[in-house]
Amino acid sequence: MQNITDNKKVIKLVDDAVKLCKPDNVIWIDGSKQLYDNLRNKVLASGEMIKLNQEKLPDCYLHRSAVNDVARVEDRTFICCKNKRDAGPTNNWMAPDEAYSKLSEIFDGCMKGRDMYVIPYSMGKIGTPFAKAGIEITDSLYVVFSMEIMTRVGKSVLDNLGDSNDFVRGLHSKAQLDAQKRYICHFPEDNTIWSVNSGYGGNVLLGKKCFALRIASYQAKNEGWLAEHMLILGLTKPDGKTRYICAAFPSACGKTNLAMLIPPEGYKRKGYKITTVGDDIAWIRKGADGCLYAVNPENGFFGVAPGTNAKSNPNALETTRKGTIFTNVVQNLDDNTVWWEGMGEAPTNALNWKGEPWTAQSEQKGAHPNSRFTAPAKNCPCISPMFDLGEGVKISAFIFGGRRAKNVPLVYQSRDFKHGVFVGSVMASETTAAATGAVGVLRRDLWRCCPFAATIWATILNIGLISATRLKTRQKYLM
Amino acid sequence: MRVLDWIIDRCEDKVDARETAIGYIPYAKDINIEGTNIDCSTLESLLEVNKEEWQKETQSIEEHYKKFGDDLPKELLNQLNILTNNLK
Repeated sequence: MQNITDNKKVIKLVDDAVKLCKPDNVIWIDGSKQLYDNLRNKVLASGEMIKLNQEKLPDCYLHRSAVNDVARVEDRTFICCKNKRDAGPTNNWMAPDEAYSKLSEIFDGCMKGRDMYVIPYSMGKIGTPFAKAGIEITDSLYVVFSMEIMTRVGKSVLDNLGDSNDFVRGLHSKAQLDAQKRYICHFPEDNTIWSVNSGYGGNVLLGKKCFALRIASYQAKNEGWLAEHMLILGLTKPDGKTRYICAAFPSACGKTNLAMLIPPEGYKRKGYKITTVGDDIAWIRKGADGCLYAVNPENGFFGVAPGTNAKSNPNALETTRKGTIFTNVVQNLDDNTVWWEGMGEAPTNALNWKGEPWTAQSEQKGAHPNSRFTAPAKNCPCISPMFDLGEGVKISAFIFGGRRAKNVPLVYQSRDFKHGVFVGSVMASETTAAATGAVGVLRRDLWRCCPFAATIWATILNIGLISATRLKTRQKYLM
Repeated sequence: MRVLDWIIDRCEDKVDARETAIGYIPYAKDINIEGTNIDCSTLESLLEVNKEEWQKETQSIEEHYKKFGDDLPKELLNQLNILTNNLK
């Protein structure tokens, strides 16, 4: 197939991947409707995705991952920088040579009999100051369609990139989905991510955690900005002015629900509004005026399905009614729609997340607890009008929160910026059942699940701030 | 929602707060509990700062910081010292 760029570095990247993985064909994802239609027929024919009831859920599909492949795998995720010290005490480290060698063996010939897809994508709106380009090479059509939702994909990314070498390289193969040979390796000094033997979510949609948090925090350290695990919301008060807030919370503490909060009746009547810029990742830069501006580099939401319902998060539910891929949820066979725990009465004729016949009488859950929806941001009823604003939104406050049964007050404000960085660096949260291990144990890695923790804090301190921004913390919030 | 409201008001200097060892805490009267099932005394207990518990907290923070060794910015250690002194 004709490649769609003249960029020598991109072409070499693809050629090297072809030599290593030995696919039957190479298909460049140019973003055209015609190509997507062809590939959709292919993915439906293979069974990798299932078409849902197109009247009730237009353009929606269901995917089931392998039973051994249902979540990110932190113990098989490595930061392969040259110096172990740079990976920090909170990450797994493997020497880059060892990692390339080990993974090359697994990648060798892994795409024989398969097609290789080359996905040019942008984190952030193409051509805007915060945006960064990536190329993901994969053998999974589920990845192709998920990336289409979560990022901006297509030839225009390459057109904008031109001859530049400034793009993140990602190589992914499902290989045999062998959990014993599953690795997700980041090479920050090479701007490269290699992921093999997984077909699931954050392991394989390389733009998200791998690029937008891990690699980006390394780039950010060098370039003087921040890549944070934070939601961005806009709060409009009765005076009509919108202020923006970034908030960091660990998993299963309600980030998405907060980002899409609906004000209580009394507040709505007075003119309060909440709009969503992002629910997971914020890229933050200092503006000319000395204030911090944030952008959500993603283009969709990869949200946890169970527990999302008309009461807990009506906006999220509404977002998933079209153009969405559901992963590992229940399939209602009566009307070919989806269901998950928390959605009211369970269907009586259904398949569970493994594709087995299932009813509510079963001891096991129907949807996997980490089952997901991959939904376009533009579907969200409360999406911010500033969502696509390339320059980002000015941040009035940073919030750090978590689950604390005692000791930490409802909310408190830092005295100044340096104090605020300190507070953010030690914010702790009690572990929940969302992660393996003991429940209720205090963990202090809220602000940092990325490499280079200490140097990030140093960067933030150096960036400094004018008084327009104050850092705050809170434990939980009242509606 | 109510806490977000207070937070923005603090950013714009529209509301006062009381200074404590750990930072600025809201006056209970400044958090609107109308329409919630929280009463005044519950709110006040949610806004307390317990010195003994926080002293234990600083010890735990010190342990956490040790993991980073020399890479930890000095400024953060300064902040920890300020907090420890405030709690004496």
